[in-house]
Amino acid sequence: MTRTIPVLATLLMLGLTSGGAHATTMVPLDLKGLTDRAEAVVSGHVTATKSSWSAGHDAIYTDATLHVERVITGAITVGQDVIVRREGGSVDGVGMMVFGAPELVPGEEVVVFLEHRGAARYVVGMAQGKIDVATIDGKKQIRRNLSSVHFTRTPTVEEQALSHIDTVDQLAVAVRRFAQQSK
Amino acid sequence: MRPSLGLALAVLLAALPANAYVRSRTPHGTATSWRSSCAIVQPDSGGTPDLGNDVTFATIHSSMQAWRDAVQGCAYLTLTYVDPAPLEAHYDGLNVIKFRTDKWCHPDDSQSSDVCYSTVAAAITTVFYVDSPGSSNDGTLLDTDVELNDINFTFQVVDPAAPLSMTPRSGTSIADLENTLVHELGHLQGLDHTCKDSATPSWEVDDSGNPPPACSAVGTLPAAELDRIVNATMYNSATPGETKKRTPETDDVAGICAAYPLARAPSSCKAANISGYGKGCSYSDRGELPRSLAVLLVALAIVALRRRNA
Repeated sequence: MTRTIPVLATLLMLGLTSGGAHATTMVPLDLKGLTDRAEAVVSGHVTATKSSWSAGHDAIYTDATLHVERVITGAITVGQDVIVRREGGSVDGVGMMVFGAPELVPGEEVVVFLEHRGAARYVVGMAQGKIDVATIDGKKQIRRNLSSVHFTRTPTVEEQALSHIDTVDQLAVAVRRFAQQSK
Repeated sequence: MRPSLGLALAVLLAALPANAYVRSRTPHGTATSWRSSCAIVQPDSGGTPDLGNDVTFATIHSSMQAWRDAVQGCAYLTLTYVDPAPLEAHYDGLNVIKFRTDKWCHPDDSQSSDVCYSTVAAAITTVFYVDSPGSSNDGTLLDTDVELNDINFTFQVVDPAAPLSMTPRSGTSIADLENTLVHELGHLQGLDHTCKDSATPSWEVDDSGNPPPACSAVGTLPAAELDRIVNATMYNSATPGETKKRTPETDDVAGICAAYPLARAPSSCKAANISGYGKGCSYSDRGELPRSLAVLLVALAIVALRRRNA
């Protein structure tokens, strides 16, 4: 199967049957939807952020530096610093907020699903593609209850198993499986 | 306080339904709000090919009217509709509703295509505010724009009796325009979502002063609290063909009335002044203006800009 078919199937599933909303007003993405749209899925720590005006001085964007500590899928290497952009930020006494854009705070550890939009990398599906990570009892736990992700159709048995994901290791296995299916 | 009175108050407070609304805040915790008695909102005249202009602009008007009807009697802020004109959605002090029909990108992207939005977003609301801790103007809203994704979505007036009966354009999803707009207009007035997701700033709190419950965990809340959060117009998700957000709910109204109590009503309606806040230009006086004059000044500014750009 070519890559096109599952992507199209996902788009059709997400688009024609859902029309739902999330965050700003957004189609909900399940893990397969997030994976299909991501060119890379990585985890790491946010080390810095920098906000600046757009070239036309009519919007503010914030570039977060993510130090990559684990590559789940994609052509990014461990140890690389990648820039992840979001809409909004604060410059010169003016704040700009876009409801739904994911906040990336220096010091926090995250898993992010990344896509290129134009010249910059963004988180897939705005806030939906950012998952917080906490180390508990030596294990990297994800702090997002995937069982509550709004599936747009009856989940397959395989997808239902995702509701039990609670570590980055388990998440990585599931993401790689979906990525493999899409090839 | 006597114990019996305190107990009575505690019982009373426990019996009163807690609200769930969340006001958007600056990073230093100041709630954002308009400092005028009105927020002037104007559609871009381009409209959407999904609906005729008459239906489109009437729907925008009725979305604003839904808020006006809901908060009258407890809030002073009035959403003021101004007739459509050719407008761009960016930081200029104008509150614009614009359908993106050719590219789901911010206008800066016309050259470099580096600031496009997520294709799964049906609408984006952008809010500019004064971020000046300690200043009396901290948190003042300066500019808000609602952009609608008319490339990946088909905007319609959904029949509530048959919400899934409409056929979207190929490769797109149906979104009820009024359902979408009433939610976005809540953001425009300074409300955030009623639960916390990865996009919610860490400094946001609900009306009780606590962080909002996680969206992923609202299912574990008591039934009454769950009901208030998920049935609010400012809840962060919707079902396919949903129309229930066309009218603000009790919790949404409580949020607006807390932000704009009648007792603190400014004397007049004036357009925001962004001069000195990242822009050198200004289209209104710093003083209070009658509402009609403020609207006239905005209209004149638009005409002047169009002539300059012609």
